[in-house]
Amino acid sequence: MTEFNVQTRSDGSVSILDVKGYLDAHTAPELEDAFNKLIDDGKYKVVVNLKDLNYISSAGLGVFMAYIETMRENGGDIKFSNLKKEVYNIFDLLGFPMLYEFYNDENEAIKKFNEQ
Amino acid sequence: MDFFLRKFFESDSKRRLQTAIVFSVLFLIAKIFFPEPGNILVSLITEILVLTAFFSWALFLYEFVHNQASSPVGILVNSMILGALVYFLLTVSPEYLSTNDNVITSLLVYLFVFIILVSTAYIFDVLRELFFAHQKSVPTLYFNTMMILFILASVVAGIWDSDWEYDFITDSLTGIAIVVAVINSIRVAWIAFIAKKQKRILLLLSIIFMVVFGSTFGFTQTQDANFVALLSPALNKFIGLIFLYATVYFIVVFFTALFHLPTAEAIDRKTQELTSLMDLNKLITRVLDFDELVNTITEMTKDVCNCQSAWLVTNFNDTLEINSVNNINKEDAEKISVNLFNSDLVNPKELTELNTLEKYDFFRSSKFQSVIIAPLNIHGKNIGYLFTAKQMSMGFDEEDKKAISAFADFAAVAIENSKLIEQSIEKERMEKELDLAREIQQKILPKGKPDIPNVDVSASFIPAFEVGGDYYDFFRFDDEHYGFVIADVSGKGIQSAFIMSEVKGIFESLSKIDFSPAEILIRANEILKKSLDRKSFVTATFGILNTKNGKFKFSRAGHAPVLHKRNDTLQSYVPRGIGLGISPSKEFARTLEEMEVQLGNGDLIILFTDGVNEAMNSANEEFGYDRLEAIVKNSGELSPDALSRKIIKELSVFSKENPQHDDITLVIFKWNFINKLNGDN
Repeated sequence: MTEFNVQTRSDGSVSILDVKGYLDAHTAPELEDAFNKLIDDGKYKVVVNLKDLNYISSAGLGVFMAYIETMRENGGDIKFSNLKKEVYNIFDLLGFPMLYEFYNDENEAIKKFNEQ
Repeated sequence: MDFFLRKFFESDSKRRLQTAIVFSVLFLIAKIFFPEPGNILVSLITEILVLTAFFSWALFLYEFVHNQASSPVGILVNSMILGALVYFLLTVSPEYLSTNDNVITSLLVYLFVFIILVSTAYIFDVLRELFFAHQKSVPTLYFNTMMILFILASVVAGIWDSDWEYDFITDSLTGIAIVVAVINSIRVAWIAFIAKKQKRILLLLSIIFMVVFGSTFGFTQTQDANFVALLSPALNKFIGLIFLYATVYFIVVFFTALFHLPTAEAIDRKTQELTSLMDLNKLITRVLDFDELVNTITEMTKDVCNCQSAWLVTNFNDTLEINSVNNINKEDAEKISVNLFNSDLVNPKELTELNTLEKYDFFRSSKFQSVIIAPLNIHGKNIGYLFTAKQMSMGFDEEDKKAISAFADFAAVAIENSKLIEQSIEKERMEKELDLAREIQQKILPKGKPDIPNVDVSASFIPAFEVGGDYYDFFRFDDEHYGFVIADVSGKGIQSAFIMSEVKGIFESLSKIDFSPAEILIRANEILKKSLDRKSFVTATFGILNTKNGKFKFSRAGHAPVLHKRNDTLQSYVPRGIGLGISPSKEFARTLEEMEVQLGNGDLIILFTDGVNEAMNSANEEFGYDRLEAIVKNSGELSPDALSRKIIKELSVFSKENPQHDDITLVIFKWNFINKLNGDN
């Protein structure tokens, strides 16, 4: 249940976070750390690859909400990609797709950043 | 009670003083009436009186000596001064006193004798105290035998003159008394227990004692030139024997102290080690600040092994951290520790001693030549390391290692204990917080069922161990319109309980005004967007039922679908809507949809929170929407209460032993319009 892992990669000016496992109130701080590190490094363009994310709780959703605002205030954004159907449904129910960008593939999200 | 006891002891001390004075005065009177030794009986009485006076004084003074006995050097210095005084008084020429035969000189003589008597009594007390100090078996018999022999020899010497034909009786009694005194002089166990510095002082003191007491003894032997002897031969003899005993005793003390000097340091250290361990033991049993504990450990370790620096590294959850440094700065300690760990020089199981440190680059800059690292292990688990360092090479001996080892063992227990206490306090705090959160939730949720015309309502709520932030409520707008709300606050515990109470307040006030569900949610979002922190949000579904015509109007803000059961069909409504507190008003209002459905007789509306569909079994499978919908669809003509029970039963069968992570809330209502009409007819 608590298996969780975040890894950061980069593709040009875009940082990619691979978030794996179960994201809940107990594992959320790890994700926050990853975002804080990106902010410290001045990297505000982030693609979150959720290919291996199995579950997200309200606490996990809250982390994304908070950091998307910070990234946008600094001229960047957080874009989501590769979500499993069940995970996407949670985001969808909450109305996230109306506010944030979701892509089937990570490269589409990176491309979108580079077009700007 | 305490008062009376104290009273008793005070009066006791006073009475001792009175007794001593009474006997002294009696002796004085006896001497005034019978200045010259006449018959044996008079001599016997006066001699017994003077010796009784002596012992009365000794008894009175004993209290003062005993109270100071913890520092033997102190009382020894006192007795040295008194010994010197006695010596000085004895040297005063008796001829000078006796030639001027008047009252003043007589009184002066009595005063001198009196001072000598009291001083000797004090010295006698000191000797007695030293004799009994630190003796395992109480050698009362030896001491008392010696005293009896002293008294006998003195009295016999006092009654009969020196030219007495049975002189050998006095001599043999004196001889036996001296033998016993020598035997008793080996009672010097107390020397072992004083510090090295004090032993040096003692060595010096005992030389002075030998001279002073020896000379005093010598003077008591010159009976013709000694006014004490003239006044009371028994007292002279007795004082002489005591000074003889004192001289022999201090000769023994001198040699004992001399032989003890080389081992004094080792004994000092053992004593310190033992005291420190005892102090540490006391620390363990007390609840205290973690920093204070580790600082005490490093300080004691440093003192006991006589090393330059000591520091303590804790190892909790595989994270090494320097918690306390003594006589070294944290950076240096960290540098040395990290390098030692990285070079694999630290054994987590046993004490590590490193001596030839010059060969390691990282040590060249440091001043240390030898280091000892003691692992802190408890229940076979490593919780840290105790470091000690010396500037000398090969600086640690076996004793040091044993001491550090013992300290590390104690430190491990103390640290573990302190951590456990910390954890249990933290746990208690969390439990209190959870209790409070539960209490808030209990107060917020409606009690009992609402009375809504033509509607049968059921509401079930099963709280999770950590309060999950579920909320539901019912509102009456007017006779026709009734509101239903179900909401879920993000996060858990006390924080979500507070948000929940805010949400209740918002909906309570908004439902006083004639708004539509969408309008209510838009305003709720506006307020919550401002008040919630960036990470929090609330999902909610707000519905208003017209109880006259069965029209149900609702909007959904990020919440779970609304289920609508009609006979054997089931509809799941998911009108568009973002969770409350996530997006600005404009965006929220633009995307929010409002739905209206016409309820038919017997239709059910099911509102629930994600605690239902996200309930998990031990295989980490979710209960899901499909299972829920299937149960509802196949429930036939169940009442809202019965359906609620059925869903909850299926949920518990599904999740079995798996703990419930989130609150579970189910609000079900049934539109019973025709039945009611029939009933009314």
